[in-house]
Amino acid sequence: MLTSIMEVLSCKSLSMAQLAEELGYSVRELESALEQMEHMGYVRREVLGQACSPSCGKDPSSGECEGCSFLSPEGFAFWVLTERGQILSGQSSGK
Amino acid sequence: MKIALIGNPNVGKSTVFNALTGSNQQVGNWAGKTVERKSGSIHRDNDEIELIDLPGTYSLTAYSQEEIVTREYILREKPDVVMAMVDASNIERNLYLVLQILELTPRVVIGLNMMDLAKSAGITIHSNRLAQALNVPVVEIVAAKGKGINEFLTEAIRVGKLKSESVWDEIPYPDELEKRIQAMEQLLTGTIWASKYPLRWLAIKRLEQDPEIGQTWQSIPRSSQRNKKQDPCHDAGDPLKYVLQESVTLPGEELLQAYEIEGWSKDHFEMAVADAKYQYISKILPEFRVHENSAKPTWTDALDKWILSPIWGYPIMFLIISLVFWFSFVASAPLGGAVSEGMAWAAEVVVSLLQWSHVPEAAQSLVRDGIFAGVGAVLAFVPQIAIFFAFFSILQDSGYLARAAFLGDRFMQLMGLHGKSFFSLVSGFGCNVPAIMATRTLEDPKDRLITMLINPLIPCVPRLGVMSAVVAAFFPGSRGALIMISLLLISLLLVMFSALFLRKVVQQKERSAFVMELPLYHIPTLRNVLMPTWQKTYSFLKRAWTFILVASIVVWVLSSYPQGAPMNATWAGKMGEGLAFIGQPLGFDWRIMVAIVFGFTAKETTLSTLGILYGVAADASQSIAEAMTGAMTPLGAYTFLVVYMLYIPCLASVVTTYKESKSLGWTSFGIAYNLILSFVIGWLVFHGGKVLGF
Repeated sequence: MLTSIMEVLSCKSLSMAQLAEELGYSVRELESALEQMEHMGYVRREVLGQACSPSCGKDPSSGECEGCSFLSPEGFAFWVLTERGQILSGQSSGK
Repeated sequence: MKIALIGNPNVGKSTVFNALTGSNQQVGNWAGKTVERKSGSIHRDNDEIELIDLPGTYSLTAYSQEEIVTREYILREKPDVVMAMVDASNIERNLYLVLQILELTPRVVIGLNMMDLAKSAGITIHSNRLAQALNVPVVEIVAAKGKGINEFLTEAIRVGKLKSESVWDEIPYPDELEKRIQAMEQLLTGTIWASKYPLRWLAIKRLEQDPEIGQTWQSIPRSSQRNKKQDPCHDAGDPLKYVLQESVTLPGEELLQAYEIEGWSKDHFEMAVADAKYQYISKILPEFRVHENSAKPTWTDALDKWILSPIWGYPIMFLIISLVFWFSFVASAPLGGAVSEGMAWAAEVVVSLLQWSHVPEAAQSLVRDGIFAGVGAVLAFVPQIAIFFAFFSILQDSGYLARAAFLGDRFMQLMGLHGKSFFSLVSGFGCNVPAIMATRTLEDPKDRLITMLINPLIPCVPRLGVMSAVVAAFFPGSRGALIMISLLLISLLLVMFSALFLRKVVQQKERSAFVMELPLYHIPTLRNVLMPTWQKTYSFLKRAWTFILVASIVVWVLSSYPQGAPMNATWAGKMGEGLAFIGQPLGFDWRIMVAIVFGFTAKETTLSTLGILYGVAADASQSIAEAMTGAMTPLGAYTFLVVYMLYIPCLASVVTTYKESKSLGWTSFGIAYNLILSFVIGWLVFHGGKVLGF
C-alpha cells in the first residue's frame, strides 16, 4: 500500500479519490497511510496559495489576507514526495 | 504489577490515566505534552499496580524522542501488560502502533475509545471481532465520560496475571522480505542481543539499521534528576531519562552490505515493513469494521466522475467559466449604467455648488475633469467587479475552484510546468503579490524563479475588472464573454509557452507529481459568498478613494498644464507623444500610452487615466465607454486589452519579485520579458486582425 502510493506519487498527479480508485483502498486508509509516510519522512503535506504580502494582516474570522488590496484565493493541500521519498522511489523503480 | 498505557497522541490516554490514578493532569492538544513519563499508583483488591502513562506516539520506530522513550520503556522495563488506547474513528493508523507493540509483547489489552465519534462518521467497530482478529482482549470505553475505564483496567490486570502468553498471527511479510528477515534472525540467534530483544523484532530493526539498537542506556533515578521541593510544577510523574553507556555495532554488517548491493537499502526495509503492516491492517479491517457510507458513492464522487474526467472535465470548465463571464456582463449592465448616470449627476451637482461658491475655475476643473472623470471612471465598473467577485466566491465556496486548479495542472503537465507552481498561478487570479509570495513553499529555487516570472501573465482581479470594463464598452452583450474567454486563453497559452521557454533558460529539473486533497462539494452559503464579495469590493473601493484619487489628481495636473494649452500640448500630451513611436505599430494613440505608463503603479489607474484623457467629465452625458469607442476601433481595443493584460501587473508585484528572488537581474529580466512579450503579442494581434479584415 505504502509502496504503491510512492510509485504513483513518483509519476502522476491525482486527487485523493482517484488515487483510492486506482489502488483499491478507501480514502480514509490512504490518508492514514500518507500520515504515516509523512511521519517516516517520505512524503510531505503542503498547502499553497495562502501566503500574504508582508504588509497584509490576517482576518481572524476568515483567515484571509487583508490590506494587500485583494484577498488571495483558497489554499490547496496536497501530498508530495520528500527528497528522501524521491530517492527511495527512484531506487525502487531501478531495482 | 507494572502496566504501561500507550496510544497515539490525542487518543484520550491522559483522561484514562487521570481517572485511574486520580492525578490532576490537564488534558490538552499540545504536541508532546506527555513527553515525560507519568506514573501513578493504583490499589485494586490485593494488587499494587504501577501505571505508566507513556508519551503519545504514532509508531515505535526511532523517529522522535517520544517514540524512543516509549520503546525503551517496553523493552527495558518490561511491563506486565500494555494497555493500548485506540481511536475507533481513526482505527487504521492506531492499529499500526498496536501491531508494533504486539511485535514486542503479546500481553496487550486494547481500549477502544471514541466509538461515538466513529458512529457519527458512519463507522461501526465490532470489538469482539477485532479481538478475534488480533487475538487480544478489546474493551470499549468512552474516556471522556468515564465509561468502561474500570473494565479496561480489570481486563489488563487479568492479562497481566496470566501464566502463559497468548499467541497472535505474525504479520505476513512478502517472500522477498521474509527470507531476508529469516537470514538476519539466524545470524543474530545466540547473541547477547537476542536475549535482550524479541528475535524477530531485533532482526527487522537490524535490517532497518535502527540507530538505537546496540546502544546501552542506563536510567537515572528520579531523585537525582530534580529536586521536588524546588520545582513548583512538580506532579506525580517522574521524567524518564537515560544516559548512553555504550554503543556497539550488532552482527550482520556484511549481510546488510550484500542486501544494499541487491537494492535493499535501510529505507527499503523500513518502507517494506511498514507497507506490510498497512497491508495487513487493510486485510483484517473488513472483519471488524463496517463503514455504512463507504459503499455508496457520495454526491462529490458522482460529480467528480464528470468534473475531473480527462474528457469531460475541460468542456465543463470552459462552460462554467463562460457562464460566469456571461452572467457578470449581463447582470451588471443595468447596474453599471445606473452608477454611471449617478456619477454624472453627482459631478453636475458638485460642480454647480462649486460655481455657486465662486470657487476658482482650476479647482472646479480638478473636481470635474480630474476627480470625477478619474475616480468616477473606476467606480462606474464597481457593480461589474462586485458581480464577478460574487461568482468567483461561489466557485470557491462550492469546491469547484480547487477542481479547476487540479484540471489546470494536468493540462500544464503537457508543457512541463511544475505541478505545484500551478497553484501559485491560480492565486494570481486574486492578486499577483500574494501569489508571488506563495512561491515560498516551493523548495526548489529554480521552480520558485520560474513561477515568479510567469505569475504576472495571470490577470489579477483589478486587471480583470478593468478588462471587463473595456470589453463591456466595445463588445456589449454575450460577445463580451467570448472576448474575455479569448483573452484568458491567450494568457494561458503564454503561461505555457513561457514555462517552456524559462525551463530552458533556468534549466529547471523535471516536475514532480502529487496527490491533491479536494474539498467536498457543497451549496455555497450566502455568508460565504457575500462576505468575500464585500471584502474584495470594499478593498477595490478603498483603493479608488486613496491611490486612484492621488493618481487622478497627478494625471489631471499633467493633462491641464501648461494652462490653456490643447491636450496634446500639455505635459501628459508631450509625454504621450514621446512614447507614441512605441504605440504606433499597435495602433495606440498617445493617450493609451500615457494610460499604460500610469498603469505601472496600479492597474486600476489605467481606467482613471483614460477617463481623464478622453475628457469623460467634459461631457457629463458621455460614459468612458462611449468616449473610448469614438476614438478606437474594436480591433484597437482588443489589442489594448492584450497588451494591458500581459505587461507588468503593478509596482508592488515588481518589488515583491525583487524581494522574493533577491536578484535585481532576474527582476529586470521579468520586467523586460513582460514588456517585450506584451508588445510583440499586441503587434501580432493588431496586424493579424487587420489581415483577417477586422
